[in-house]
Amino acid sequence: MDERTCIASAQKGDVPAFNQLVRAYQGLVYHTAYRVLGEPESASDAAQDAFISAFKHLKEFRGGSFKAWLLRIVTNACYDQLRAKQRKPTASLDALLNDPDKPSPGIDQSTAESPQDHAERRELGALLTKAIQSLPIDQRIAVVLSDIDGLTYEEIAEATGTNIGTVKSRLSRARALMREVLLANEELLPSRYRLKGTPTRA
Amino acid sequence: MNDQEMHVYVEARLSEYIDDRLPADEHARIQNHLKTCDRCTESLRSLLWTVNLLREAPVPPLPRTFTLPVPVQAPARRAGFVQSFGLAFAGVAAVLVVAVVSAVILLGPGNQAAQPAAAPQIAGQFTVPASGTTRVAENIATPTDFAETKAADQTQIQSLNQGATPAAFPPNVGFGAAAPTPNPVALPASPPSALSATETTPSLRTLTTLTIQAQVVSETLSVREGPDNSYREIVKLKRGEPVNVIGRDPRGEWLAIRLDNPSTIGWVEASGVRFMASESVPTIIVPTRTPVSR
Repeated sequence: MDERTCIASAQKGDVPAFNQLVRAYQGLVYHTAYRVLGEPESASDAAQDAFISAFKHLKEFRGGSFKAWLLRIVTNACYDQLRAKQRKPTASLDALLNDPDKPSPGIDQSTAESPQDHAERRELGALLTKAIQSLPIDQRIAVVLSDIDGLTYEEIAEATGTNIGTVKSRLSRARALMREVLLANEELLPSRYRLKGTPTRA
Repeated sequence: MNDQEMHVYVEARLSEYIDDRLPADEHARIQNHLKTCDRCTESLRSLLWTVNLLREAPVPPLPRTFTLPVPVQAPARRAGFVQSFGLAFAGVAAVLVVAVVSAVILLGPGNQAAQPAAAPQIAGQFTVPASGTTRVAENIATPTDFAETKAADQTQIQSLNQGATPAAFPPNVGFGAAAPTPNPVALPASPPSALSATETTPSLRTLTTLTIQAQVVSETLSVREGPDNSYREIVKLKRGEPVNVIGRDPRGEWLAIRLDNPSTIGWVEASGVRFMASESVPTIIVPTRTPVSR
């Protein structure tokens, strides 16, 4: 089934059709939530909430970018998680243990990367997660949607319920701040990711 | 424009420049300026480096699948039934999923075998630079920041209201809740924000509107709190007794049934019952408790 047909079916309540959409987008959804929230437990909750919500509200989708529509729901689910986290701020040990940024015994054999490259990319991921967490929430979402999910400005505007001017300024500030944080912690990056030969940096 | 003004002009537009989203004249102006300005060239280089690193962020493995459980396909006896089936469908689907989510939250992530992982610290001190021009302190938006999002979504929710009457969902529904009654985290009275899964909490009666008749065929049949013999027994049934099946575990070895006294959901071994008619049974996923030791 192609996406349009899937959506049309799912809008009538066809759960297997909806699940095809879930399978197509759950990687993106979880990755987004994970980068925005910074840890796997809340990300999992946000992703689950987002898909339940998407199914319930599917009739409101009137065409256009389904990805942007779905990520709008994911964004809201992330806000919900942050509000909940404000009430119980302690991170659980299990969350830390199951952190996808940390090396795990089972290396994903499906990638063509060498174990070394794979480990280094994981380190990069850990640093990016921390750096993103230092951003204010709106900037965080802008930079994740743009540079991790590859959304256009228009799609980001749709996903965040704002206009393009706002998207541009949030993204610009987010990237500038990320640059500062990454440069300040450059020695934590595997060498192949470092910005080489910067003459004027302290 | 003097040099300093030019630097400010360029710096403010570098992000859009990278995305090729500047008007043509501004783009050309910056492109021209970069030819002779090392400082701005360096700034562009480091910003590109930042964006490219983000684009390299590894995709984390999915911790689980987020597909929704498929509900039972009840026979359409008459048009009216099908219509109400359609209405109840969304409620049941939502409830089944809410129940699954509750079960997941109730049992917590402890069901996964705990790996003896090293303390997840980034080697070295992670610093967040205190920049004069950019604010770092504000990590979480204040409630007023959400107002914009909420207002738009409120109208959507109102027009969407499916009419499943929110009622208290009994905490001890028995989805393998062997732990002491925890806070039903999935079902708090959350602020009326957009599209939250916790809006409708149908009653137990709605959950079990769709049931499948079956009969106990074994001499006696234990009804347990979860889909495994390690769960506590709620009650014992005798051969010939009818049961109302509402779901099964993914392996199909256990069935979820509705009990009236106490009003709750219990689990029985599938081999112990016989269905009155052949119908497909919905799968209810209850995370299995695996022993922690390895």
